[in-house]
Amino acid sequence: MTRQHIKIVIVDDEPNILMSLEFMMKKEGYKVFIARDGEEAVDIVRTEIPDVVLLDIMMPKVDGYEVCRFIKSSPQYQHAKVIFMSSKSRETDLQKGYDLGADLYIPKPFSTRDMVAKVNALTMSAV
Amino acid sequence: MIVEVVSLFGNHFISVALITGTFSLSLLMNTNRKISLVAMCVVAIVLFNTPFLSIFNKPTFIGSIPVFYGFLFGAWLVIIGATAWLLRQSEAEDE
Amino acid sequence: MSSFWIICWSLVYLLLLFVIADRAERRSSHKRSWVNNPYVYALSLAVYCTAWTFYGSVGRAAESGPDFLSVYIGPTLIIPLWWIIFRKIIRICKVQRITSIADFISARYGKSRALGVIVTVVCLLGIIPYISIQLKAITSSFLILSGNETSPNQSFLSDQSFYIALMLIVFAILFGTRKLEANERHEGLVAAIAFESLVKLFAFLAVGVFITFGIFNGFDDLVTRAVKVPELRKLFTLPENQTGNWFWHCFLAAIAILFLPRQFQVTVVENIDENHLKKAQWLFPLYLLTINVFVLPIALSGKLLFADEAIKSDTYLLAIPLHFKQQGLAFLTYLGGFSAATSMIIVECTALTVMFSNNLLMPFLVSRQGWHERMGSSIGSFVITARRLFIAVIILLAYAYYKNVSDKYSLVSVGMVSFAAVAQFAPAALGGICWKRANLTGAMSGILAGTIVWFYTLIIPSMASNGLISSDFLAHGPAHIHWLRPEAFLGLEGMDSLSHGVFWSLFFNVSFYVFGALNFSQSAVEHNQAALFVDIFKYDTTYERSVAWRGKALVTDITNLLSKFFGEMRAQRAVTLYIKRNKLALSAKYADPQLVNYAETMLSGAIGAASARVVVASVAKEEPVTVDEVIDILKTSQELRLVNEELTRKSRELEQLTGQLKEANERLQQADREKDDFLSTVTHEIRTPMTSIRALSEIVHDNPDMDEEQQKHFLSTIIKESDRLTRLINQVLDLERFETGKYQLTKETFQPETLIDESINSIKALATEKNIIIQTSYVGKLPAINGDFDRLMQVLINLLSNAIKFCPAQNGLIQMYAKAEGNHLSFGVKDNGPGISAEHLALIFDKFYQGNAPLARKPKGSGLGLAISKKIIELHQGSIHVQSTVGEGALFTFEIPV
Repeated sequence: MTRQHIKIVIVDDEPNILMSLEFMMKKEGYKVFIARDGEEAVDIVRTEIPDVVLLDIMMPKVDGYEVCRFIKSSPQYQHAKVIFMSSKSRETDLQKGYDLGADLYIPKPFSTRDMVAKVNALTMSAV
Repeated sequence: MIVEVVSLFGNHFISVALITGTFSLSLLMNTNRKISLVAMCVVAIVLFNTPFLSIFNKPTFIGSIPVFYGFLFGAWLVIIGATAWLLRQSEAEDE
Repeated sequence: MSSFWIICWSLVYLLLLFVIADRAERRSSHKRSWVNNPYVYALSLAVYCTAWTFYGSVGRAAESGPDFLSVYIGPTLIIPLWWIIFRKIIRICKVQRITSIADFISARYGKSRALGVIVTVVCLLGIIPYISIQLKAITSSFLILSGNETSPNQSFLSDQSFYIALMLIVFAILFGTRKLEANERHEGLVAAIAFESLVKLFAFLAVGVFITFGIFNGFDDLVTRAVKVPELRKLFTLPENQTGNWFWHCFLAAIAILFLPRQFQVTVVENIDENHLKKAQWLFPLYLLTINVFVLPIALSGKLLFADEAIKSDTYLLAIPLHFKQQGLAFLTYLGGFSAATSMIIVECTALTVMFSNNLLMPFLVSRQGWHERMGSSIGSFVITARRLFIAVIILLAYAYYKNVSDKYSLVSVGMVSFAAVAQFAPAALGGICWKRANLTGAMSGILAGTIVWFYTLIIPSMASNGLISSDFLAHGPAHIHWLRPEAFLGLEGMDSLSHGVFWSLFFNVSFYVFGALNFSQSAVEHNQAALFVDIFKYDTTYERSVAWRGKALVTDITNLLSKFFGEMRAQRAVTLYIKRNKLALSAKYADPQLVNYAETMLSGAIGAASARVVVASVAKEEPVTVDEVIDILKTSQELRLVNEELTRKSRELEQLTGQLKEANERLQQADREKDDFLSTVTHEIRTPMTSIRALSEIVHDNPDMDEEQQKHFLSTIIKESDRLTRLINQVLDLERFETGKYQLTKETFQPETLIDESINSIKALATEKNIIIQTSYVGKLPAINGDFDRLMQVLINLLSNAIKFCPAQNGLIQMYAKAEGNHLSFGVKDNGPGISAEHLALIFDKFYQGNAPLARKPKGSGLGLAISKKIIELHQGSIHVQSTVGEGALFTFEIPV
C-alpha cells in the first residue's frame, strides 16, 4: 500500500494547527481529511474509515476522548491508529489517553518533524 | 344624688389616678419581674386599705350599685388582670 | 326530701368522685395526666373555699356587711408575690422531698424533730375546730334539706352527723392513704378536688341567679328594697371604726393561705410544674371573685324574706330555695356545700396524716432500739395502717368538738381562729427562705410564744363565753390583773377580738424569732439547710453533692432499709439506678455519701426529714461534721459549679473556633482548587498558540522551496499567534496585579464622550470589516469623570470587541449609551447576537469561565477580558452587570460614581 492510500484525519479546533499539520501530512503523501470538532471527526471516520487519526482532546461538543472511544469500540474502525495531541500533559492525562486505547500521546507544543516521524513509523507497521 | 356621685368621683378619680398612675409607671419602667411583682403587691395593699379604702366607704350608690362594693370588686378585677398581664409579659424570660 | 334519699344521693356523688380519682390515677400512671395542667391546678387551689365560704359568707354578709370579703381579697393582695414565694418553696420541697408544712419548717431548722412535733401539734389544735365546722355545715344542711330538725341532746348513735362523720372517715381514707409514696403526690385526689370546685361554684352561681333574677327583679330591685330598711342600709359599708380590723383580716387571710395544711398540700406538694403557678395566680383569685358575686344579693334577700323568722343567716342559701319549693335547686345547693366541706376534709386529713406520721409517729418509732428488726418488712403497711387510724381519730375529734363547742359559734369565727393558728408559721417559714441567719432557737421560741398568745387571746375568750371559764376572767383578767385581760392584752383596746389576737400573737412570734436568730448560733446541719433553702436556685443541681455527711454505711444496709419501706423491688431498682446515673462504683461495699443522702431524701418523702435522718443514722456510722466543714463543702461545690460553668463555656468557645478553622480550611482548599484550575487553563491557553508557532516555523524552516504566497501566510500567522501569546501573558499579569491590589489607577478628569469616541475609533476597523453598525446615544448632560482613562477604555474596547465577535454576520448592530443617573454614570453596550444562556450569565465574569465548562463553545480570546473589566470597574468603586435572553442579544452595563 502506498502512502497515497493511507487516510489520515486531523482533528483540532485551532485552525492554525490544522493548517500546519495538513500541510505536513500532505507533503508526506498521505490522503488528508480535516475536522474542526468531534462531530465532524466522527462523520469523517464513518465515511472514510481512516488509518490514522490525529486527535485533539479539548474541543467543543464532542471531545477527543469520545471520538477515540467511538473508534476503538467499533470493529469496523478499530484498526485505525489514534494519536492524541493535547496541551494536557500531566502523567494522569497521558494515562487516561492510553487507557482509552490510544496508540500515541503527544503533548503540545510538539515538533512537526517529530510528529511526522511518529506517524510514518506507525503507518509503516500498518503497511 | 347625682351631684353627690359626680363630686365623689371627681375627687376620687384624682387620687385613684395619682396612686395607680405612679405605681403603674414604675411597673412599666421596670424590666425586672421580681420588682414589678412586688410593686404590684404594694399597689394592691394601698388600694385595699385605709386611708384609701375609706374614700369609698360611704353609703352612696351609682345606679343600684353600692359604691363600696363596686370599688372592691372593680379594683379586685384590676389587680387580677394586672397580675395576669405581668406574668404573661415575663413568660419567655426564665431564671 | 327524705333523709334516706339524701344519703343515697350523697353516696352516689362520693362514688362519682371516687371514680374520677381512680381514672385520674390510672391516667397519670400511663403518663396522660389530667392533673398536669394549670387549670386543674388552679381549681384544686379552690379547696380554699370550704363550707365556710359556701354557707358562712352569706351569714357574715347578712350580719356585718362587706367584712366577709377580707378573707378573699386578702390572698389576692399578695398573690403577685406567689411567683416569688411559692416557686421557691416548691423548688425546695421537690429537691428535698418535703411533703408538709411541718416537714418544711423542721427541715429548714436542721431537721429538728422537736420543731416538727410543735408544728404538727399546732396544726392539729388549729385545724380540728376548722374540720368540725365542715361537719356542722354538712349536718345542718342535711337537716334543713330533709326537714327534720333534731334536738341537740340525743345520744350519738341516733345522731345523723355521727354517721356522716363515719362516711367521711371512709372516704378520706380511700382518697388520702392508698399507698406509701416517696413523693406523697395524689393525682386522683387532686382531680376529685378540682371537680368539686367546679360543682360548688356552679351550685352557688345557680342559687345566686335564681334568687337575684328569679325571685327578685335583678340587682336593682334588691338594692332598692334593701335601702328602705335602715338595718340593711348599714350592710353596704364597713362600720366607721372597722377599717383597721379589715386590714388585719386581710392580712390574716393572706398569710394563712400560704400555710394552711390543705393549701400547702395542693399548692406545693401536689404541684407538678412550677409554671402552672403563673396561670393559677390569676385564675384562682378570679374564682374567689366569682364565687363571691352573689353573696350580698343572697344575704339581702334572706333578710328581706325572713325578716321576722328565726332562721340562721348561715343557712339562707338552702332556706330560700326551700321556701320557694325549689327542691332540685336546694339539692344542688346541698351538693355544692357538701363538695366544699368534703374536699376540705379530705385534703386536710391527708395533709395532717402525713404530718402526724412523719413528725410524731415515725420519729417516736425509729427512736426505739431495734425497731426495724421487730418490724421486719411489714413496716410500709404498718405506716399506712397507722395513717388510716389517724384519719379516723381526727374526724372523730372534730365530731366531738362540733358536738360540744362549735355549735355555738358561726362558721366564720371558728375558721378565722384556725387561720390565726396557722399564721404562727409565717415568720419561721418565710424567714427561713430568705434569711440565712434564722435559726432553730428563734423559730421554736417564736412559734411557741405565738401559739401561747394565740391560745390566750383567742381560745380563752371562746371558752369563757362557753361557760368553761368564768366570765370574770375575761372582764378583769386573771387574779384581777387588769393588763392581762385576754381581749385587751397589755391594755390594747379598740380592736376586735380577732385582730387583737392576731396582732399580739404575731408580735411575740416575730420578736422571739428575730431575737433568737440574732443571739444564738446554728448547728452544722442547720447551717447547711439554711444555705440550701435560701439559695435554692443556686444549689438545686448540686444539692446531692453538697451534703455535709461523713461516715460509713454498707450498700446492702441502705438497700435493706429502703426495701422495708418501699418493698424489695423498688428499693433495689432505685439504688441501682442511682449508682448507674451517678457513675458510682457498682461493686463498692461501702455506700458513697451521695448514695446515703439519696436514700435519706427518698425516705424523707415517706416518713419525714427528721425520721429519715434517724433511720439512716441507725445503719450508718456517722462522724460529727463541724460548721467549718459544712461551709467548706458548700464553698467547694459552689466553686466546682463555677469551674464547671467555665469549662462548658471554654469548650463551647473551642467548638466555635474549630468550626471557624474548618471553614477557613475549606476556603483555602477552594482557593487552591481555583488556582490549580487557573494554572491549567493558562497553560492550555499558552500552549495552543505555541504549538501553532512552532509547527509553522518548522514548516517554513524545513521547506525553503515552498511558494512565496504560502510562506507569507504562514509567517503572518506566526506573528498573529505571537501577538496572541503576548496579549495573554499581559492579561494574566494585569489580572494578577488587580487581584493582589498592586495596580494603582492613574486618575485624571475627562468627559465620558471622549472615552466613548476613542474606544469606538480604535475598534472601528474591526466593526466595518464585519459590516456592523455602532450607534451611540447620550442621555442627559454627562458630568466629567475622574478615573483611569486607559483602563476604562480597555473595558469599553473589551465589551465592544465581545459584541462584535457575537454579532450576526448580517445586520450586526451594536448600541452604545452613556447616561447620568444621580451621582452615577452608567454605560451600556448591547449587541444583537445569539445571547447568553442563564447558566453562563452567572459565570461570565469569572476568569476563563469556560474553564469550568470545557465543552461550551469557547469565545475567541483569552477568557480573561471580562474578569479584568470587572476588576477595573471595581477599582473605580463601580459595578458591572450583564443581562441577556437567548436569541435576543446581550446587554453589558457598568456604573461608576462621578
